[in-house]
Order: sequence, then C-alpha cells, then structure tokens
Amino acid sequence: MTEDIGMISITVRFFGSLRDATGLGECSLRLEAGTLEALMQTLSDRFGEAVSQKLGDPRVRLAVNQSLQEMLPILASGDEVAFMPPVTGG
Amino acid sequence: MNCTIRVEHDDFSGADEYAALRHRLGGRMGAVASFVGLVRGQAEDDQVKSLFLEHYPGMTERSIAAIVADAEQRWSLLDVVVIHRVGDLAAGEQIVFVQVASEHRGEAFAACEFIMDYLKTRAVFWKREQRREGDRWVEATERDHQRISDWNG
Repeated sequence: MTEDIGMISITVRFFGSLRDATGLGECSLRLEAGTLEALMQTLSDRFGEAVSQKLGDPRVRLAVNQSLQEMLPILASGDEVAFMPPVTGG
Repeated sequence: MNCTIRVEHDDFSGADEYAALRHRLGGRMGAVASFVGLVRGQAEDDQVKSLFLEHYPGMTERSIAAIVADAEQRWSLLDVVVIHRVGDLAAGEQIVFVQVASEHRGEAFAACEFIMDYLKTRAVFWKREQRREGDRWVEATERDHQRISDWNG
C-alpha cells in the first residue's frame, strides 16, 4: 500500500451550470495540500482547462461544510467543498 | 415567532397552510399576507416549457431561515411559512409560497414582499429553464438586485 502522508481526501460538490459542466453532482478528490491552488490544480487535471476556468469564475462562490467562504480556509480530510454559481429562487 | 420552512418536490395548498395557521394562532393575529409564485410559461420572446430547480440540502434551508430572521428584525411578526419546491416543474405549476401573519396588515404585507425579494437573490437555489430553443440557467435579474437595494436604501 502506498504511503500518502500529507494527502487529504475531500468531497467536492457542483451545482447548477457547474454540475452540467463537470457532468457530476459530486466527486471525491485527493489533494496534496489543503490549499485553493492544490484544489484547482487537481480539478483542472481531472476536468480539463475549460471546465476549470468555469469553476474559477469570480462569480462562483465557495462553501466549505455548507458555510460560504470569502477566502478558502486550509482544507482538512473529510471537508465538503461546494462550487456555487449565482443563485436564484422564488 | 413560529417559522416553518419546507423545501420539497410535492405541491402545496395555500388553503391548507392558511387553515393550519388559523388553528395555530386563532385570535392572536390580525393580518395574514400570502404570496404564491407560479412557473410562467413565457420568458422574453421564448416559451418556457418547464423549470428544473436544484438546491443544496441543509444550506438552502438555512439560507431561507436567515432571510426570515432578517424580516423578523425589521417587523413584528407572529408566524412565517416559506415553502419552496424543487425538481421539475411545468409551466403553470406552483413554485413558492410565503405566508406571513402579524397583528397589523402593514407588517404582514411588507415582510411578505421582503421575503420574496430576498428569495430571488439570496436563497440557495439554481433554476434551469427548458425552452423551445434549448435549456438555460437563470440568474437573478438587475431588477431583482435593485429591489434588494431598495430595502436597504
């Protein structure tokens, strides 16, 4: 079994147009570090540059464990990160 | 204040909600304002056949609760019910129900409108229109955002 000290496992969820773009509602990812850079790099490797750009759109908001974040905190194993395009209800 | 928030696939009955409210509050309230939003079959120049509404279970309910809490800070309210449907909804179907009870009509009218305006821009839902010309994700309009500014002007 491979040692992967330092790797963290998170769940990522995609909503609205981003669910369509990735073709997934959610997926599990293993990151080398719990940083935004590591997350975006891993997503880019998995989904390609075009999808990665949509995920990185400044209008997309991020929630960690269902709490909206202005700045992504350092992620830990078990965290759930949601990519949320602009919302509308009613 | 009583607060009921439901996010569900099933349709709702405004009459049933009003009957339940009267049973809950009886003579304590003096005014009830309610609003029902429906799937409009026309958007700009195209026909909308149906809507698909997606939500984030847990977060969506909390986003609505935060809106109701804001309304409660502004007005004296006795009871608020918000029901929001999700999933596939055909043109003409009910999407959203807001019912506000208070002692006097001013609070009920204002809070009902406030809650609806905030649902448009702050509640955690995503809405896709299925149109003749193809599907399209909908966003809150400039007018929706303006209405929020008006509440905070």
